[in-house]
Amino acid sequence: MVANGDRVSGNCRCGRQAVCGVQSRRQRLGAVLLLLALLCAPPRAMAADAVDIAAVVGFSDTFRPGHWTPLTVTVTNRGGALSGELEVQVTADDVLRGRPLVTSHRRDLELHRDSRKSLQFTVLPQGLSHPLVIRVRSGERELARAEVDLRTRFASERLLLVLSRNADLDFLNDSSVEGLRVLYPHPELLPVHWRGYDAVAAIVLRGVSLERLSPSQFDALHKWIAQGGILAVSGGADYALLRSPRLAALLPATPLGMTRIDAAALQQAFSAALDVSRPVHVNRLGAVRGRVRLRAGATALIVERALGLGRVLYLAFDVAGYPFDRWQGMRGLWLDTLRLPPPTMASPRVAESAFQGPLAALIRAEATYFPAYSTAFLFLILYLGLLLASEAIPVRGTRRRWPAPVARWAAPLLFAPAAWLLFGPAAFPRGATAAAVALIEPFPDSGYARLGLELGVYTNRSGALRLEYHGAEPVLYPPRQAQREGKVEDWVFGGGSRPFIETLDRRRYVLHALEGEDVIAFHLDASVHDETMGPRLVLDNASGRTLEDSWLVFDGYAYELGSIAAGARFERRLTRRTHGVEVGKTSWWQVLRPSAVASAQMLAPAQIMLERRSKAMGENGYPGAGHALLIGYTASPLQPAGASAGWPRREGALVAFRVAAIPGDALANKTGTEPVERDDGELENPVPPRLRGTAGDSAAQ
Amino acid sequence: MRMNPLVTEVLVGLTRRGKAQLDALGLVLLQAVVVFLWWPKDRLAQMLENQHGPHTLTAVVMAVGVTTAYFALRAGAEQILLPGQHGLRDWTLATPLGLGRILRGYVLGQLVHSLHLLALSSPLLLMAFTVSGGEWDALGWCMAATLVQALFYRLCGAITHLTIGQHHAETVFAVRAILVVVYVPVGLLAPVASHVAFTSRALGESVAAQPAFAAVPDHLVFLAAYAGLSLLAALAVHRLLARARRRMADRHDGAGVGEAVAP
Repeated sequence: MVANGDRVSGNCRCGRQAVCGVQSRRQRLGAVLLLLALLCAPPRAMAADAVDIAAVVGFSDTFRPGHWTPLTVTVTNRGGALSGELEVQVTADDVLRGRPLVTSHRRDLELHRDSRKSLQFTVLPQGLSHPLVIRVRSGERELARAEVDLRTRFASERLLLVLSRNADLDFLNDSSVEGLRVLYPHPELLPVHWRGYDAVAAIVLRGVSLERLSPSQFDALHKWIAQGGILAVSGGADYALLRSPRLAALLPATPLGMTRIDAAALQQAFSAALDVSRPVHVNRLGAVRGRVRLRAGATALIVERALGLGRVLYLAFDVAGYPFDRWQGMRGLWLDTLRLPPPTMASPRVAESAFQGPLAALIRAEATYFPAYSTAFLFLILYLGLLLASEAIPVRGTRRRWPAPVARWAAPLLFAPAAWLLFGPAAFPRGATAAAVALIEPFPDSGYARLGLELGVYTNRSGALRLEYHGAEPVLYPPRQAQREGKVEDWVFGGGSRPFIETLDRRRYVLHALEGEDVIAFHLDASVHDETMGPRLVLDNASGRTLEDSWLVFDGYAYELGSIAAGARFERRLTRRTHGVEVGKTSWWQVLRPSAVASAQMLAPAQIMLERRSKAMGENGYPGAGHALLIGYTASPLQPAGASAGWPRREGALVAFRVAAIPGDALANKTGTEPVERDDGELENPVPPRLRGTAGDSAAQ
Repeated sequence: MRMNPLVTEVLVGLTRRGKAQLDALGLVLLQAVVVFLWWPKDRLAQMLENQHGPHTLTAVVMAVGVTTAYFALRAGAEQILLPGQHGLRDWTLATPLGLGRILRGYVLGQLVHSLHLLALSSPLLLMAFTVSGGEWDALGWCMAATLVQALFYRLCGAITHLTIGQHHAETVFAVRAILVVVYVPVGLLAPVASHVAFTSRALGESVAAQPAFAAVPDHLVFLAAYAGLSLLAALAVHRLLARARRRMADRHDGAGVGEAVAP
């Protein structure tokens, strides 16, 4: 090429060989660059075009602003293998600071050639003014981008989800303040995190098997019910679906077959207005472990079971079949049956500064000091003294040259590393610290517990701050107080197998705090019997965690229980006179005292948390009349992991189990919730079906 | 490569005892007082509550900047000479060395001297660095700024000395006046060229919200400004030295040059 180029320049007609040679070289260089650009550009452009993003927000592409909602993103890759990241940016307006507030959710994404993958996020769109931005990135390169306009996809009412092929419950639509929007989502798009049901008031299931759900979807549904959700299941001719393991574990009764009810009995049970001219077949129920709310003669029609704080309803008849499909009173029946709680506003929290919460109390209790004044003073004096000595004391034997520079620089050479070691790793390690305070409130009869979390990270050096964790999978959000004060930061939340949080604020000595909530597996059974001399406690700790420094608070007395080991089952009679410490109904938590290192740190945070709960309970007090409270410290369910595993951590978790006391000497083998009404229907109380691998089982393991 | 005799003289002078060493010790004492005064008084929880860390490192680096500049100014004005060290005028008038070589040696010698002062301050800087949570690159930029600034003040001192001469009182007054007049108004009027503002930006909380390298343009502006000013000052010194040598040559017709100082 070069030789040829020279020849061409030599044949140039202008006769200026040098100039032509330079031009020729430039042309060749230009051609090569152009070729390189052409070679490089198409793959990039093709890579960008080869990735498609499709998104479904909420249920049936409808969500409720201000509530957590699932977002299903499907990425299709038509190009080569892709390894990158899928990011969803949720933007809200920070009015106080006049700037958009961006929360990013990220997941690792790997796609083979010509493949497709769906990933689900649980996001909190606060408003409608900003679209959701979805990006696929590989390194710093953006391969695809999509924006989801939220203005056309929202509903202001609570949602009622109907999982059915052909049921029509549109008559329940109501656009009033406490109204409902009925949606018919595809079961495969149900949330994988229980918080995705935040906007959902109830779920109606008819003719659909829960076996179709993924384990995480079923787990999310189960947790959602446990924390207060309502599931209504319609019976029908295809009752085999209702005997499938997952549904059988949830339902308050087991369908045994079909039974015939005549028209008169039905009209008597429902209403005389029910247009029924011939007998109707309904499910015949057995193994009832709930309350029969409606019956026709001896046949149970509606059975309800409490599951944690939620309820599962079993309607033994086909809600969309004859004669109910044409009955005007069906709307009233649904509303009576579901008994939807009124819409809740954001839970009121007494205004407190960011540094009055339990997280700050935990950090304060840790008592991390800077190296003392006296240490610094002594060090400085020693250093200056040595410098002065090296100046004042003459070096003997000055024939040799080396002692002079050694004497001159020995002091700084010695003291510089000493300063680094003494004031650095030895007394004041540099780096990031994680702090977490958790309140675990077990739900009765469920094997689950609500986890309220305050999570903070801080560092004493500037730079990126990213905490990887495992254990719980909470939804995290900025503290409400920070939102009120306009001090909310931009955050990145990573999901998938290695969840993480990352703040984009790189300042040091700033506590970056988040609040979170989750429902975790925590199987703790307890019953408290109010006896003459004092309470009798029956406890089964199947949570897999040891409770330290436990107390039972009941009826104006606090009883110290000490440590309750994982797997412990015991029955203890507590006498007011000998075991009880008399406490007031308010501020009784001040009786708590530290007896171990862990609880010494947790004392102040625990007291703050209990005080908060007491304020939230209002005049009834906490635990309230007729209730006992079992409290104890345990390990935090959320632990730093991966690259953050070595971080220093301040953590503590308080278990607070509120138990309804059973009067007198009633049976001691049940959890102390509302006494369960046993209505046998047609069967004699067999062992209720239990799902393998449910939370309770896993916790017990 | 031959060692510049001015640098050799500085290196030798640094290992000897003398008043200059005591002056340097005084500066370290001043910096130690700053460390002590700005040592964090709050607990970590209070720092987190106030959302800012200790200002110890910022204060010490500022103190190092001021004291090094003052020391360089005095050294330039030849109020401080290392044991065995000769003045710039001596090198010019009493040796046949080229002015370029003299100036190069003078600048290099100043850098060596400043590095020595930084070495003396290093334990204090590290103490402050560990508790304040600064970043290494930001500290490095600050030290580079300190060196460049000290060079500029050294040359300013040299200009003072070459113009005023050996008049002690006037020199003392001029040196302090330059330090105050240049240091304070520059901080107020042109923060980009102020070492105090520079340190505050590099190590303070306001910039820390951004990645450290985001502030690099500011750092470069500062370094470029002082490098440019130092170049101008060096040209002025060169001109003054050339004039002094010319006058000497005119007076003595070149006789006796090279006898005053043993190279």
